[in-house]
Amino acid sequence: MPRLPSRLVRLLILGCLGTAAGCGAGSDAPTTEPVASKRLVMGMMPKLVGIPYFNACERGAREAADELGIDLVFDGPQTDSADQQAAMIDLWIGKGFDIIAIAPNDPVRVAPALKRAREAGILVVTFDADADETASGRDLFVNQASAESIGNSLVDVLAEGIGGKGTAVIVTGTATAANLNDWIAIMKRRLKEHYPEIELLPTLVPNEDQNRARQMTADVLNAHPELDGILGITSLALPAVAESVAASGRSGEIFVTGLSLPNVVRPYLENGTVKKFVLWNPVDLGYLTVAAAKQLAEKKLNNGVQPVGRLKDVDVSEDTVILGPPIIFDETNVELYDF
Amino acid sequence: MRTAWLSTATRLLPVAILGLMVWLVFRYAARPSYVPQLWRPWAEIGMLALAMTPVILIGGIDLSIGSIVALSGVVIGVLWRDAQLVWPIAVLGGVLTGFLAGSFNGVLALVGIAPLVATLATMALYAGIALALCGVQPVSGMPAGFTILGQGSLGVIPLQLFYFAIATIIFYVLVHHTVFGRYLYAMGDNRLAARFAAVPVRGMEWAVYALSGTMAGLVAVAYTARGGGIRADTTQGMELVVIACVVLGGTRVTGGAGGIPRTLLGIAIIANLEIALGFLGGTRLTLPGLNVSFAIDAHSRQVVIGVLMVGLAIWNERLSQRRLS
Repeated sequence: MPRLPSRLVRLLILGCLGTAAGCGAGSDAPTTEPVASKRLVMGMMPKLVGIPYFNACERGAREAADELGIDLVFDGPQTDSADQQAAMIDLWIGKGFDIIAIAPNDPVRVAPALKRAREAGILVVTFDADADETASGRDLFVNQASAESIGNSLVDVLAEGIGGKGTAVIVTGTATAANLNDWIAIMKRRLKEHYPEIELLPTLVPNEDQNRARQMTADVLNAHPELDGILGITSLALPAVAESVAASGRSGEIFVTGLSLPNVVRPYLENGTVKKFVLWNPVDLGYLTVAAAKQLAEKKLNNGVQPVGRLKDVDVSEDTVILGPPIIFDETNVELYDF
Repeated sequence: MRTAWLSTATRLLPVAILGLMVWLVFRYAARPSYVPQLWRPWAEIGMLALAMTPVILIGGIDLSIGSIVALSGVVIGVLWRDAQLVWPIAVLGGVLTGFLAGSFNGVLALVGIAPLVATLATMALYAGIALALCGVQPVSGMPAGFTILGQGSLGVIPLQLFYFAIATIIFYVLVHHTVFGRYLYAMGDNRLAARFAAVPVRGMEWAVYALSGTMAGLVAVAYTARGGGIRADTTQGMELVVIACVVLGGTRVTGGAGGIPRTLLGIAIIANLEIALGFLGGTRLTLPGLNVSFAIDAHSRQVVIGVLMVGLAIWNERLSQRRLS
């Protein structure tokens, strides 16, 4: 390997030339699309891309972006990775976006990147799940519904379904997701206060992975024949749970409920595995995120209950916007919703 | 004459790709001074790739480094949060954990277990220990004196790039200008011959894995500081990116050929490719003359990276075959 040093030198020189060429191009390039058009450029990042729930959010977000004249980039990681989210935020800072909206997989790990975004003068909004408020300094949290109303609705539906007593288990998504952990804490409190005869098994954490959720449900069904109810509290967990219960031949015997999308749960309503479930309108959540961010950017977001774009009765207080109470779906009303 | 020209072109192709990537990155950056910030996580990957290079040079592989980063990070976090130690002690504990984990890999390798099997097993083992230590509750809110190690910058240059530069010099000298380095190539070329030539094969085997583990422990410091805390399962898949950087640069996965400059090339290409594609995210590309357009999103990004890697792998293979013949 005697030639290596000279090759190293050659590589380094070429690398420097490449960089220099890049710098040269960079200096005359900053006035590209975003600045020239003077439209706000907004980046919106789901917890992960390619799942029905966030596809529905994207639909609403695009609707608002078209209505309000915003250039929207909707992109995110393919798995529930907070690190990839943080890297993508840095990318968006470098790209010079005006607004960044994110549903963090981990409130703490994305916070430094969000803080850098704020320091660069970018408006930072969280939606679906919040980031660490003090560490990130985010400007606004667009909440789908108050955590209380979600947690309480879930528990009430479950308790009604299993007759107020028995054994139940929660299947969640990512262990660090702030919204899920809030709901679980509220659900546990509600159970203790109102339904002390319902016993909860340790929560299952499949990390937003449908195969893992199916497997974990099958395992808990085998290990606990006395189980009465299962709560799948993410849009991926509920259908996975329902499929697992249906496969075990115990549809109707185990009360399955949770949070998911009508289009996803419909087959399980039809085969009788799921009777009732809970969700807000994710299309509206996406819409509200973009619309509220735009109002905030123009300093037109005031406190109080008010219409935002096409949405009525949005609750704005300080740095939080709430979409409204969750909807309880069953076979009588599910036909009204297409998302 | 013609083959000489071809072989120069062949060798320069990856450099040309790198130049194109760097140009794209700066072309699409509205804030060029922010670009070094985007290299920050890649400098951590780069340090791991430097330490992976000796492992691959002797024909080994270390699949456990992602798990070691997680484990060392968790040890730092747990020593600080649960054992209530001051952070410098916690950091020492984390680096020591990396050394011990790497040493254990080395011991498995030197007793003759195939490194692919050994480190596949320890990948699961270390990740499992990290999860057990940390639980589902991630460590967060670590003190500012510590987090500056991973979040600080000198001017516009993130500290990680300085760590990476220092590590590069050390590994360059180690691999290309020491007896240790010559032993690496000898072992990768022909282990039996190296043993008969009195190369301390078993000691070398242990050393490269211990070195790789220690580097993972050091990277865990920057990694944990960068996030202000640690979660036990965030480094999944990291090892594959690291290995990709090494072999894409042109170090032979069967050992014996390659080196630090090639690893630098590999890391620079992958990092800037990812960043360039990220910048293009959300835009639509239309192929001129064809009625085809596609959006650059998470899925097409994977496709582009995959295609480029296959292309470079074939290129590298041709290169090394010509050299052998």
